[in-house]
Amino acid sequence: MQEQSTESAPENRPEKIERDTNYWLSLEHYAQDPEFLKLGSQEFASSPLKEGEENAIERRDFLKLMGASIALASTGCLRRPVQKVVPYNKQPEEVTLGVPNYYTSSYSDGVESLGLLIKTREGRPIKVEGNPEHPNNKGAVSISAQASILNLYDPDRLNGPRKNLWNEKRTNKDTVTPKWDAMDDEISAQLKKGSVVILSSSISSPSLRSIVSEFSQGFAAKHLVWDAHSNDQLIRARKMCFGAETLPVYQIDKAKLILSIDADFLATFLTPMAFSKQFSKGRREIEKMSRLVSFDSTFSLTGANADLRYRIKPSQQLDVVMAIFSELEKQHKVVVPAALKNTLDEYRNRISQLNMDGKIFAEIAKDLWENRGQSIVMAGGIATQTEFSEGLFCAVNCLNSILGNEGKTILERPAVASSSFADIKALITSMTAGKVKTLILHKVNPIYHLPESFGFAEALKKVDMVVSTADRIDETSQYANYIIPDNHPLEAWGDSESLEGVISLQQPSIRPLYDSRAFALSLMNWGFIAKMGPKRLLAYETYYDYLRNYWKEDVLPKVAKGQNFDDFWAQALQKGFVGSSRATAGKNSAKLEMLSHYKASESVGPELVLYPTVMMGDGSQTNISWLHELPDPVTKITWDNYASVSIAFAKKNSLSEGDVIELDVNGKKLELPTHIQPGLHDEVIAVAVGYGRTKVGRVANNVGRNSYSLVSDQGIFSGQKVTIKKTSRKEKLANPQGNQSMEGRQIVVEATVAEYQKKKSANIHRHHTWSIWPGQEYNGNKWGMSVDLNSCTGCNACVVSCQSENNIPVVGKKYVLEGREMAWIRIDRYYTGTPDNPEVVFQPVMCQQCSNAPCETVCPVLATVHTDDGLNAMVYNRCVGTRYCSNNCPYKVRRFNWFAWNKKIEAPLNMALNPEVTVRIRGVMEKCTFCVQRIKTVKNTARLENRKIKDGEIKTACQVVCPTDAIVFGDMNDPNSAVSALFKDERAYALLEEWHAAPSVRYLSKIRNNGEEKRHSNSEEHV
Amino acid sequence: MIKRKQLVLGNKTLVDITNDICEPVESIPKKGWITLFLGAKTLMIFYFGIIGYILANGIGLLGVNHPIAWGTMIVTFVFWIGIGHAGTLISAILFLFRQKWRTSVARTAEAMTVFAVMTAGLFPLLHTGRPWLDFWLFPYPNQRGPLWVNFRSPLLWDVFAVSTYATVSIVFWYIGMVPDFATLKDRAKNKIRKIVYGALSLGWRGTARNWSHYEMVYLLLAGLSTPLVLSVHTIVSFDFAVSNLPGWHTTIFPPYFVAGAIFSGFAMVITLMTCVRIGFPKFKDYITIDHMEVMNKIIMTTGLMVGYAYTSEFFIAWYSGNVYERYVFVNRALGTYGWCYWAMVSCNVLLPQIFWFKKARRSLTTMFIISIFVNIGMWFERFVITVTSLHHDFLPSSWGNYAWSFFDGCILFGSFGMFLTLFLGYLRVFPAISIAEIKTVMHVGKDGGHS
Amino acid sequence: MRFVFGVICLSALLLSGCKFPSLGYNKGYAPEQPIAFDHSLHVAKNNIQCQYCHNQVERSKHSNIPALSTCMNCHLQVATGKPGIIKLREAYDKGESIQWVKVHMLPDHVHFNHSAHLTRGVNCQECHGPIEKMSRVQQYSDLSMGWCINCHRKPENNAPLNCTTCHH
Repeated sequence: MQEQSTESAPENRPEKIERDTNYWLSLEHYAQDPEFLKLGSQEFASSPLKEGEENAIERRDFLKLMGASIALASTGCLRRPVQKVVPYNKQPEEVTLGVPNYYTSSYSDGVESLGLLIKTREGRPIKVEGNPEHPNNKGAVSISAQASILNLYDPDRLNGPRKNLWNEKRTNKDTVTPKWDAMDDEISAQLKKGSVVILSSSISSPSLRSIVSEFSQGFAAKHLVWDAHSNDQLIRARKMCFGAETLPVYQIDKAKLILSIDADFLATFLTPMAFSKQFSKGRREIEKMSRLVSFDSTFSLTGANADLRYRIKPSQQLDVVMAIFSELEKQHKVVVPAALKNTLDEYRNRISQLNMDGKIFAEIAKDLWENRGQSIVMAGGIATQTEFSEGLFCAVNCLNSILGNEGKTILERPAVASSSFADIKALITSMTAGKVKTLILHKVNPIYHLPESFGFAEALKKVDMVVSTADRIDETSQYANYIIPDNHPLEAWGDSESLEGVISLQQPSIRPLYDSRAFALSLMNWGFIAKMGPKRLLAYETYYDYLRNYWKEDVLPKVAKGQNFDDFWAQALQKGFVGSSRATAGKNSAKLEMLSHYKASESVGPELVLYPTVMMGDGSQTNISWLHELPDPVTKITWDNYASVSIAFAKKNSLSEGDVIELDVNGKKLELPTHIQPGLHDEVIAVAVGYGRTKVGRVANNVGRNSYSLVSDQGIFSGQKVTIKKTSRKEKLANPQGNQSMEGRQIVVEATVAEYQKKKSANIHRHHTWSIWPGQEYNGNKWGMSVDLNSCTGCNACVVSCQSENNIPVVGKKYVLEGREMAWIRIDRYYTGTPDNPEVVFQPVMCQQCSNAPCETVCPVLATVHTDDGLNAMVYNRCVGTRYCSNNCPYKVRRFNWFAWNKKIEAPLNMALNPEVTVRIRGVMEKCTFCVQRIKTVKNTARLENRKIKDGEIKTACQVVCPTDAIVFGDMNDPNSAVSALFKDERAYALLEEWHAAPSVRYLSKIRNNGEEKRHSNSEEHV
Repeated sequence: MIKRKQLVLGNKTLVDITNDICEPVESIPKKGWITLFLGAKTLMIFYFGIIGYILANGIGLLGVNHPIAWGTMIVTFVFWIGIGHAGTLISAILFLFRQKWRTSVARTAEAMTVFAVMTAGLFPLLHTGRPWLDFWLFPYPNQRGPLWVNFRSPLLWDVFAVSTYATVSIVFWYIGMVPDFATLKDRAKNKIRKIVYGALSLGWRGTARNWSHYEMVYLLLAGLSTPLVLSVHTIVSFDFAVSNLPGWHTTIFPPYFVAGAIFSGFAMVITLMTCVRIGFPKFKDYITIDHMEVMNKIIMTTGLMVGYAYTSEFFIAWYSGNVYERYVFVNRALGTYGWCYWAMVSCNVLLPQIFWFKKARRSLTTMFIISIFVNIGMWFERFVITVTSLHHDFLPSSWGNYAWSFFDGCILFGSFGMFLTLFLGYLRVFPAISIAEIKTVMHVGKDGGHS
Repeated sequence: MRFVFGVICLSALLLSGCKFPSLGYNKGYAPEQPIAFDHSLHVAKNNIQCQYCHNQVERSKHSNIPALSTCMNCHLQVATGKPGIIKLREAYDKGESIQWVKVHMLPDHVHFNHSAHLTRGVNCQECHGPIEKMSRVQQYSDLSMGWCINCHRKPENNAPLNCTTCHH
């Protein structure tokens, strides 16, 4: 019934905003037409009873009655109410009903910019996938980028500009919808008065940057760039060491040894997607696989993937680097200047307090030296924003410098240090002094991100006019005079420059749903009305025109000199990006002397660590149910943040899981439930940031607590002293994973490199299984999947992709607690080794599509049966819901619709649903189908083109986004397919092989490059 | 020669017997019965209310979740089906074995069977996600190709087994009552009773032919329902035994379940009979302490069988050398739900041992209390089997606990409301002891009376 | 009262449902359309190919209802006076669309693919009957699952019989 999505155009829709291009002319019937939304909401209604065409009912009342009653008895025989088919008025040639279109685009969170492919159906984006051509992410796509699709359809978005009706004290929050022209006039008039400040998060779009700077020229405005999680200290440190403001561009695939000091580069630090790709590349060939050593003060995803992980507390980060220095010196590898010598001596004493075996550093130093020029030492992220961070970063730079990594494994790109907390303080003071007449806020939320002590809210009231581009009335924009919602990235033109210097186009894939306007266009309009600013700013009517021109004048010369622009533009649209990495080798010139004045300092007692999670990031994009229901990669807890403490710490303070404790960080208090986290330093309390939004929307309001309130006034996130007070309250933490240990069963098989070299199938206990039944013949295809546990970093990207592809509902904290989560693919995380300092293994588990599927034999109504291409089909519409299949499934991958989750999908969120996958109603079982809809689509195209299916042509949703290419899907009957090769790999084993369900999924054992001979003894042997 | 115990006390004449047994049917109910009945009825109405609410909102209101997809409804289903067994056993098997003592308890026991099966029968239908499609569980011609049911699925066998059992036991029960209906009709004072019982008695005349046919039919039906006693619970046990879940996948289940069923069934008979004796003092002459004692013996014996099953399960789990199997049973006794296990063991195995003492066997209070505990224990047995096996299975990552909710409680206790309402109604509408048959055994054990 | 009536019909249907398979299906359903479009006129009389209007049927799972622009290709000149065409013209000029009444309706959980069938040489009439002769479109086949399966079962068609062929 996709025809319905082209409901006729509402007259009331104001003809504004960017000029139409033939990419979305077709969509002009779009926008928030209620009638359409209603139709949309019925589009997936599975129950005939739900259909509501009043007139039809009146006309055939008796029939309805009959239909209704019969529908109860059988879906087989009923006369449906009338439905309408609404064809296009003018047929857009690129839209074929039922056939998706893919548009290249890009997504940027300020630092990392990803090349995307947006899958659209009848002009509405339904899935975000990575652009495999893109040099940075090569098809990998982050969780937040995927989830941004729900942000587009967020019902809590503003549907147009708002004007705040202030009283004198600016307390009341009544808003009205202003007229665009009046508003623009008023704002530009106000802008003319001068002393304008633009406060924005770092802008990765070159064209927008130039617009902002031109605007700033025009109005003599000040542009402050401020990020909640900034890398400015990193940048400054590189300036101090190497003389230029740059950001490092790590070549992780080129490194044999990676030493990370709280740099969570696989999850949140700089460009995690690119890093994950490189990391897995560097470890694919096991004989030559790189080693990752991590000093972790939280249990980060990077730490979880480390071959050697050491738990520290933030104040020890610098000690660690210095320890390595002194070791290098001891081993006469480096000659350190006299000034540094006695500093190092101080640190030597400190090493003893790291309560680690001193030998560790000797080995690491040795290892680093052996891998001179092909190792990386990195530190960064908010966990390293301590009072020592400058020293830490300089020390790291020096270390890389003397190891000769700079310029080899570490390139650099010029970067601008964003404003520090001091600058923000300054801004606030001048605001309070009334020196700021107009403040324009773009993609910032200071009132949420800054501790109350900064008094931003108060200062805001002293500003004559505050203009915000937030897409909703959030913590900060509620105090703005005008909210002019910016378009969603999927709705608007734009571009973005990646850290590595690749410039990508951001191409709209849908007409703006609401009456919003691009930030850039706002600036241009105001400039135009006020007749202020350089010619280029005023010359263009739309941002799109400006963009094209900018690319013509500035981008083209950079990357493709002398090419015809139209071809260039067409290619850019086609490929989604232009140019390649422009990272360069920096000067390898760090002076060791500089380290001498970073004196060691004592630090006792528990310290606070703030860390971002892959789901929430800095909390700017949190009103997305997928992200909240997504388990944290390591703790596996959903829908909350919490204070993680070590087992010993919990014992000492007699804390148990869920006890609410009050953290006191020099006077700043915050109450959080306790989570006892194995592998934390005993003097660390780790809290995730990005939670506790209060005005973001129905999903995320008051989920978790806002831990930004603990940030010190100097902008120190971690390493602050913290005292705790236990309260009497308890809060349940929703952890969908039942048990954290493998109980000695062969579930995830690990081996060390040494073991692997002896025997490739090390530690895999093969079972002799036989059956009196010869087993089924598969003459056509036989689909199979292999998951390389050695590549998988447990990043969760696949889980979100699956959710988006298969219309998987979200159930909420209450039901996660009751064990009702719906994820079709889950990533099991097991701890091995000692509880205090365990290692972690990850295992994605989806339906194993067993050839002897236990679920199939027990279903009384044949709702789950085997297909002739080896799939374990699940027929939702036949399912009565006895749930016997779930009981009989050894992998427990089946999910049941305990309630009518589908009824909870409120418009316009239903537009994100994938029409290829039936939305399940209450009372039916569901599960992973190996994305049968994708298989079918490819099969059909192959038949249309009268050819065979190519290997790797079918990509499952989980596979297509995997940043480490751990998942491979294909035809096991094709001896040359990648997957059948992997099935023959000696590391391959089937989960619960001895149960002889004959699964079609193989796992490749995990290899640890930790230099040990055997896997640590205390991980139990499989019986 | 051994002197037989009297089956009917207090030198009854034929008339006395008829009067005694017909009294509850013909007299106006007393306070006690009315209060009980109203109570039960209210509970039943509440029960149906709850069921309606669950139907409207989803099975998720119960504690069933992931990984424990079967909970209270299935547990209580097996519980009631089990209860049902004693009835048919007494009326059919003991009949074939010419156990004269069965006569006075057979009717009521069988009524209990019928009502228990009715109560149980609801659950498999209601526990599905989409109960309005339950008819898909039956093979019927349809327009889907046609699309048949999966004859490999134990659940389907269950559908057949239970429905057959229900039908046969109802027929058997009814046939047995035909002559007594006739008696009631003849005694009836007012017209309506005459018509109703007349209709029910299917025009019974009491002629020799009537009797010979009756006897024959009764014998045949007895023969027909005897295998059912074994088959039903065997097949119910297949629901578990045929699956591949450690703790379910065991060959001992069929006999173990049948023994358990008879065990719980007799316990329920005892519970009801003690009440009946209190409610209708005259029945003490027909349902004598001797009857009770015999049943207590059976309870003890079957209790021991069940106990044997428990132990052998553990032995086999160890002997199998299967990690998962072993873990499940250790977890049963020592895991989260250990207390259920020990409740079950103490109620089902330890407590009934008191029946080794004649005093206990013949003391009404003792047997009443024990029978109650046995019923509790047997409910826990099914809970232990269903829930504890599911909650920790193969992959530790998907372990979980049962999310017991308010509705689970309502379903469990509400089902008693339904059962008791039916049973109390029966006591007042049908002759609770077979008038015709009891007369044939009235002389047993009497001096001069031939036995 | 209505309800009672409904219930009676329901039980009647349930009893007879198996006797007459097509009962309760939309077979023969021929609703009145906003514009009385006449297939017999366009196809039988004027020999217009099906694919001229339903131009995406070979590429897509859906057989598209033609956009108004397609109609106007001819009807800018042809039969401009007819009331239906005037209505069409007005809608077209307003940039609106015609809300046709859906005739062939499959439940949402059935994924039928037109292109797949066409490439296998199934022609429109197999399912839509003598559509070219219909002056008002009516549902020719009952579109029941059994009806689909019957065709898929025929060995000569060697069509897939997996549940996932239609349900996913």
